[in-house]
Amino acid sequence: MTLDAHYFDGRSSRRHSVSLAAGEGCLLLDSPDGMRIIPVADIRVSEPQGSAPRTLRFAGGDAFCEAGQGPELDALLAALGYRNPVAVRLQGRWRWALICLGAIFLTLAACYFWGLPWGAKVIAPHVPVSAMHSISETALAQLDGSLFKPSTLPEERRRKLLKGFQALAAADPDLAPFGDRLSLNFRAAPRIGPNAFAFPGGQIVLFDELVRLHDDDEEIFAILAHELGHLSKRHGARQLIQSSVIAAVAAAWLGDISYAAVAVSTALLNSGYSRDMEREADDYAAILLRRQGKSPALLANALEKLDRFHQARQRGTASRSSGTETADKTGEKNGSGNTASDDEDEDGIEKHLDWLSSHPGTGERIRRLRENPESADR
Amino acid sequence: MNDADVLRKNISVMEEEEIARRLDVDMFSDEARPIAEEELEKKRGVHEKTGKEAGETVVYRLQFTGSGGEYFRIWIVNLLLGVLTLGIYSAWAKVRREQYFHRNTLLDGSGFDYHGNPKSILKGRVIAVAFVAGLWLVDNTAHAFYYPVLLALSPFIPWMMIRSFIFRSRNTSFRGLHFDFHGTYKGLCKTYLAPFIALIFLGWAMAYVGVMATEGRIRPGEMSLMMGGIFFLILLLTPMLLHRFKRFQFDHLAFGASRFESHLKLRSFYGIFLRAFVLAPALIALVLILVFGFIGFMAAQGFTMTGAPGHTGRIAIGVIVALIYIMVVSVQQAYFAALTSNLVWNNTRLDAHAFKGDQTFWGICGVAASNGLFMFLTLGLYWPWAKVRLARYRASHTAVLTAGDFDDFAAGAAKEQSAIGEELADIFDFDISL
Repeated sequence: MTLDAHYFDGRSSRRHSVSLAAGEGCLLLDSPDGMRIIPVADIRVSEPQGSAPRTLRFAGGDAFCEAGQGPELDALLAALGYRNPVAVRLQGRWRWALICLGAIFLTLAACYFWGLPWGAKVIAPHVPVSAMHSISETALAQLDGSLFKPSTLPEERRRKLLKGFQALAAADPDLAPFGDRLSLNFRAAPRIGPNAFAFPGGQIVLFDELVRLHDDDEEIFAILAHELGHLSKRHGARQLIQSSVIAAVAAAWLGDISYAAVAVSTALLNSGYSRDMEREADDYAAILLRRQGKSPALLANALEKLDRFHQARQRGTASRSSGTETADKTGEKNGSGNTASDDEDEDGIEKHLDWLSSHPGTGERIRRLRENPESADR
Repeated sequence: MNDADVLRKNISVMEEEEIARRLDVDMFSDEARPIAEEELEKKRGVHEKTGKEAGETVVYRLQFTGSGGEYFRIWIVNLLLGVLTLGIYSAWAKVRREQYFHRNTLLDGSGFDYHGNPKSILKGRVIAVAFVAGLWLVDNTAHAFYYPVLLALSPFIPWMMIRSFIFRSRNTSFRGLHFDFHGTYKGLCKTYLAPFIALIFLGWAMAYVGVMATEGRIRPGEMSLMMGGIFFLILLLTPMLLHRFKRFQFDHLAFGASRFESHLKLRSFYGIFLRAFVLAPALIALVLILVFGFIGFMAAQGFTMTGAPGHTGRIAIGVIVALIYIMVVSVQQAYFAALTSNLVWNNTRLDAHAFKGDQTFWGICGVAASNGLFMFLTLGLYWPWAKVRLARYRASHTAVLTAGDFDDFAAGAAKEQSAIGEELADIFDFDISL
């Protein structure tokens, strides 16, 4: 049984018609110039690529044969003892392809839920605070030029808050790497409203609006404890690592569609991480408060006040609330988290879109802090 | 008469152009496609034979024989192996991908081939990743050094581009002969450096004007005037950059011992940009009018029923806007690439052979818009089909015009080449399309 094929010598593009047959451990190549016998060991068969012609390359030179696919070729290759590599056999069947697809999704999901957070947690403490500090300084300077205004709080009130803040920070040895880069900055931000931010470099920003909302300083300290949690747990560095990896993977997967698709999916995936970090910062605040002999309920009270304020504002000026959201997002991008109070009223859609938002529902956080304070002591 | 015969009969009565068009937009079922391709070849073969007998120029069209389902299986298996080996296997996956697209591209019955060595590709990727990670580290830890480091590394960019061209062409073959690239570092710098530096300068000027405006040193009116001026200069410069780039690429390309020759005029590149940037905005404007008409309609519906458009309505509008955006972007990218490819092939020769590119706006629209739509709906899983459909369209609209056959090319001297340049170029997203 013979197979018609084309032979190319590798020195010119001339196409020679030949016929191929299998011999004992060798290939018989019959051409008008005579018969050639090529040992099987000297033949490299190309992998099947759909319906494209296959090639049989011969050792020592660029010569090869090209043959169309079909039962004759399969019979010849079988007689020569050629077997497809594992990957090619997997590629041949839809069942295997679908199993591979499932396996990819499982692997990616495992990386997203466990691998990446774990890796970031391990690496984050090794990211130098000095590097994060200089990035944060730039971000803070930018915000000072736009959204942030100078604080108008009386000097005395500020000194008192600062003193409490320092006492709070001193209670956690994990904050030592920040040294004197840890700072409390007073600002006013009428367009953002009551809020506080922690920049990953150690700068915590407290808005006058938040101080004015809480007459009880203890509640303000509870919020500052939450912000210190972001710093102590290195949420800034972790977020940087996680979002870089996610952006790289998203770009590899979706880069061909559009960069907007990459940006949207990166933001969606990152928001899941921020919610976990908010919970972690709440737990941390609870521990820090208890260490000072205070109750975690202070943070719950503070959150409740903020929530009520923002809900009232939203109801009052529903049309202007989108401006507030934009402002918060700006802060989020540069800092590692704010106290989050603007989100999730009990409105149906907001609940639906919980996985879209960077903070867990305030109601859920308050419940966590009140109902089960012991669990926070892990 | 069995099914295949019925299909063949139905297809054979169609005009040549009709079959080609239906193949382009993927209108045939899996069983019908091979028959349609065969019939198309037969019809074209009649033309070719008559040409051959009269000693006239014969047109050989490229033919792409891959299918989306096949390539999906290759892609997904290789993707899994890549994920499981933490990316190491991706070099082997790349070779498989390139081989699939090369081997399934046929000219006069013979396939192209790809010979890249996975190990050298892996080596290139490791260096490329280290390079990018290093830059990232400098950017994030010692930002003051970022631009000096970038500047110090910039002489390597032309080198990487040359290496990438050489690697790619030497690893591509047809009928046993390899392509080659003869461009040099000096040559690339000479043709490319001046407009490139001018472009960087203009980019910097734009940023500077922006800073001045935010600091309030110039009025908004002045700013828009300056920005407009700079943007106009960039528009004037970009076609020039592409012209020089393509000329350099094709004037130094060789097949065996034969050199390609391109006669590309700068004027035609301005033509391309004009068509891509006048036609495309016109299309986008049309699309936007339709979208806003639709949003207005939705809003009106919402107001009559509930007083204001509901959240579901808002989400629906967002999805529709995103979808249209992706389709428009897909078409614009593919159309621009098609115009460039047509221009280059229609003005390039190889010995006595000439080339023809005849991709059309509507042809590209049909393929690219539906690709964008399905990519969006399947969250990117449609990618292999999209790639195959575009390859099929491009191949069937690229042809070689020859007075005889392809028997008379001779081999040149070929050497092994490292993949470092190509992988770096991959990451920095240079367009290298041969």
